[in-house]
Amino acid sequence: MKIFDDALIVIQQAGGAAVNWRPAAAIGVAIQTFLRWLGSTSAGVAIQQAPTAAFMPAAAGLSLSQAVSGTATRSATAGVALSTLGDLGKFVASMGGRIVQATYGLVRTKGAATAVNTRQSSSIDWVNPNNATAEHNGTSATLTATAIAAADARLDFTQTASLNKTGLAITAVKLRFYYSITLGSLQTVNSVLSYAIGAGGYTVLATDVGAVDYLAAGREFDITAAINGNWASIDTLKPRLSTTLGSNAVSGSANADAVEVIVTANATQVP
Amino acid sequence: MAAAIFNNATKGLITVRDLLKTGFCSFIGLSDDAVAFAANQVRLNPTQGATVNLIKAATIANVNDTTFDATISVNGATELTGKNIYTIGPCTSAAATDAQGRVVRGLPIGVQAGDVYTIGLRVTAADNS
Repeated sequence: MKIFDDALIVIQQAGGAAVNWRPAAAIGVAIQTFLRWLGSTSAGVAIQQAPTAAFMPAAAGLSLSQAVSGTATRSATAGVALSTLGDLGKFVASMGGRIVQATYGLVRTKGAATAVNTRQSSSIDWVNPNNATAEHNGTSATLTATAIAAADARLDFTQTASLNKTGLAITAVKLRFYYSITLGSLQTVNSVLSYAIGAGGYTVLATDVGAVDYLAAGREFDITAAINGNWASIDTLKPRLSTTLGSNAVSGSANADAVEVIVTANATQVP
Repeated sequence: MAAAIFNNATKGLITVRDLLKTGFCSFIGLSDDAVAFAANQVRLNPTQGATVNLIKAATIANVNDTTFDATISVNGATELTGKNIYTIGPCTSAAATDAQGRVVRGLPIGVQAGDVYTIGLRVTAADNS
């Protein structure tokens, strides 16, 4: 049944007033859909502000886009009925502006929530361990040996719990240690960087036996595989810096500024 | 008579795509309200209760002749701190009343200090004639 072929149905506001685009657009789309259902693909619906000012794509199309969206947001679709009258308005097409994807990308850089000093084989502690919490800021906790006593202590770090991140897929996790070791003449050092996840055992990332300086740029380790996409593992991550400084000099020290956990994650949502 | 009137290579769909950039998604709004729109609501937060909006001008990049990406960034130290992103919507201004649509998430996304989010909408112009 194509009795409406080439027909043009015009919607105008009664009394010649300005068109209220929202209901006009909704009605127009409904009529056009009905005509298509009848098989009249060349029939069209135009919305006119005045008899000589038909709804054209370059102008009022914008308004119509806004108007229709309010009725279509549940499917995240903004329907736009654009018409071009052309030669006597022989056709009208239905245009759609549609949200096809929402994306969420995260880079989370977070320093430790706490840094706890624990003596090992000496009576010397890390001084100001709280300086090693939070993100890298140039202020460090310090471990210093004396001329007669070695320093042997460790810093254990804990994390701030992540807030509702399980909707994001983890793509990379890195540990970045900001620390340095300076040594006096003939002074020795053995410093171990490691981490554990939850109640699991510690995994050694690196061992330093000489002077190093990672205070400015940090030293980074990729632990993506160990985290295995689990946000709970990140929350229970426990980095550790365990340092033994020899007693042959008084000028050397170990400094710890921060241990950052850098997480990259994302999500894609198709409405 | 066929009604395929849009010329993809020149004015047709490209024009509509470019109109959508300004008339549909020049801003992106986020809300920690999980309630979907009622039929007659145009606000980002339908209930306008204790919920929080963040609406920022979007950076637009064409994907192809019919599609573009609109993107904003969110610094969790200063924006939506401690809140959840439940919805994302295209907006035509920084006003919550100019939200043009709304995509509601099933799982919220938490925002906190240390987080830097890049959040985007991909919008496409389609010829449904």
